[in-house]
Amino acid sequence: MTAIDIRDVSLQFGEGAGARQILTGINLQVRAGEFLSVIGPSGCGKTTLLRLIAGLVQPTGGSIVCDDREVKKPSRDRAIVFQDYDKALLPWRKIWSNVALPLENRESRGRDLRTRAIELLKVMRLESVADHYPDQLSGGMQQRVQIARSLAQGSKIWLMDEPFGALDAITRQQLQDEVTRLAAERKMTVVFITHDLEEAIYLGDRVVVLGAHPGRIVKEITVDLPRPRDQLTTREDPKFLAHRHHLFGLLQGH
Amino acid sequence: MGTFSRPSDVLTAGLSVFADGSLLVATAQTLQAAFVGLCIAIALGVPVGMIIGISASTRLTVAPTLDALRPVPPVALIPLSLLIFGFGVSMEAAVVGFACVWSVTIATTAAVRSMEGRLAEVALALELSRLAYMRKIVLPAALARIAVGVRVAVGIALVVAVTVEIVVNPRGLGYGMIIAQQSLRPDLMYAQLLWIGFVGWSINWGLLKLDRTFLSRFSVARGGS
Amino acid sequence: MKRVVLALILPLGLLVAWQYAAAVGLLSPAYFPAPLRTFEALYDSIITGALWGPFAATALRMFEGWFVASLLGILLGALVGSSRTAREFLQPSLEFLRPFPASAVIPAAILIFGLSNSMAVWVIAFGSVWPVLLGTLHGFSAIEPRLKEVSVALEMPPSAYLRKIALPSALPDIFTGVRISLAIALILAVVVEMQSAQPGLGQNILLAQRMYRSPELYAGIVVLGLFGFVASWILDRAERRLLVWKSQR
Repeated sequence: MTAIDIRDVSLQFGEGAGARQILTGINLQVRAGEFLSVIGPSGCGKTTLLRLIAGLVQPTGGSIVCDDREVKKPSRDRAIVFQDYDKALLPWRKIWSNVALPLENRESRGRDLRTRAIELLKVMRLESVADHYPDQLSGGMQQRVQIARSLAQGSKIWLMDEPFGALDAITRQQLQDEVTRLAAERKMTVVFITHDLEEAIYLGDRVVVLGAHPGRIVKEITVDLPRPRDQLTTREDPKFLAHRHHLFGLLQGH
Repeated sequence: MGTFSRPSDVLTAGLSVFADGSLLVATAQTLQAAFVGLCIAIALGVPVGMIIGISASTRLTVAPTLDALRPVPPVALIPLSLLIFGFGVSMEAAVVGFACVWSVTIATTAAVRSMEGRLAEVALALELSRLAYMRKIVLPAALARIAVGVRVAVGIALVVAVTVEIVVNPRGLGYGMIIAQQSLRPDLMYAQLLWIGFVGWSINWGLLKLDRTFLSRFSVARGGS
Repeated sequence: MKRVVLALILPLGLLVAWQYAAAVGLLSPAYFPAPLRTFEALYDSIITGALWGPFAATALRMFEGWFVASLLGILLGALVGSSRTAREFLQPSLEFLRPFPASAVIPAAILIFGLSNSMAVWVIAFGSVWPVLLGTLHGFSAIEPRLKEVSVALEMPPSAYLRKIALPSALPDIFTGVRISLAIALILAVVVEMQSAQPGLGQNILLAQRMYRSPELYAGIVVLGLFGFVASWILDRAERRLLVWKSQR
């Protein structure tokens, strides 16, 4: 079953002679429950592609269909996790209140909100900082709060824009495993943008490589590594290394 | 006659009072009082700001008194100043000085306090002598910050000077407006009103230009305006 | 405790020195009356109740004008600040008006409204509106774009966006504007009273000067200073409560 159907999508910036083709001819089907990694050099439009799927941007050509409906604007059914977590959290609200933000738009109030928010914080092992403010937390914790908030939306589609790019290596690895675990538990469809090749292979069921100028799909590979993945053993698996070799050259060449 | 004037009347009134020199004389009077007041504010504010900024003990002793004096609205001192100095430049300058001294003091304190920081460490690392440190680092860094305080003070000085003239002092642009109002010459009054706005704006603009030209080099030390 | 003692050394010392100098005749009693005489005058005005009428008049005037100014300033500031076109169109003119002496409109206001309390309130409102307006404008124009995207992604209706994101984000800037406004409102209230002979604290000290009653003059200044102090202290506490998150560093 296809969760996200990207049909011949292109995005052009500007008109006439000065126009820039950001993306062209993107055809992609993301299966329900699949973890798709998208990778590419800077400026290849991978973030733009994510924003197109989210509905924050409209394509100039082609269309994106989610759940039999064309994507015309953002929806709560597609949760987004941004890279700049410090700008994506509300600094004047406590952590639990930040997580509760998506829940407020429904019927619940007060007590109930806090309880549900703390449940989600427990999933991310953050319940101890529920009453803190965002700027009292480390970068890794802030990003986990954003992840908790995105889980609060209860959506089936998870869109992540280089979420771990600003974090240190150890935190990154911990979060990689947490995200894969959560996605599997909740049977979510994930589109994960990264510039880190190893991360893309480690996390994904499939890796799509974008080329730059203009942005287009240059390669698609299926990652047939066993799950659950392990930071140590999976990364030493010969198939992992083979994929790495295979894709390394593609990224360097641009 | 009424309370409003045709723009053409305002313009002619303005031009006439400009041409016969009275507008410029009044402007000079106002600016003079504002300038003297500003000088008083700097002469008092910089030393006091330094005293407070230098050590925690001086701050604890002196700062509370200043905090108690600062909320006094400068205009409340107009009668006092009038009592002591009578009409004229001095009383106006005194009120302007009181109003402006705070911004200068605060800026100076901030300048002095921020110096016991990385710039001091730089000086230590470069093994600068005390004198060289003062001359090459403390002074330029402090100047930039103090300049910001002075720029704010200039705006205040003009406003307060005009206010004092409107309320009591028979000189300057404020007084000119009162005369116009009392002689039921709204055209003249509006002309002077617009002129005051123009003077205020151009001084502000001039200071910003000055700031950018001369003090942009000190932008590292500036932080916060 | 030690801080309180340190804080009191200078002012008490000065007052004692002043008292001594006045008693001994070093300072002219006409211009620098002994502090005790000022205190006496102040005490008298409280006991006889002569203080409260003028105090209430000034305070009421100030708050009315400041309240109107804040409301208008926040509304207009929010509107202009939220729209890029409005901002580009209006901000230069607004900045032009910023260094404008508000008291300069008093003669015009007298011509238009006559010598009345409503004239006073309008002048106060006119003068106090600028800091709030500009502060709100800045606050609304500087909302973190990422948060706007978050609200779009969560499909927040405009009312929720305003309540949950725009307003809290702009609140620090609004408060800064409101604080400056309060100081200006007090100043203008006093100026208008002096200028148009409206009853109030400003009128009181002007009369005291005319009658050469310097203790009452100083007493009036003390009252105004205290009033200004208390007003801004209350605002500070309110700010600290509402902006609790700012201090958590």
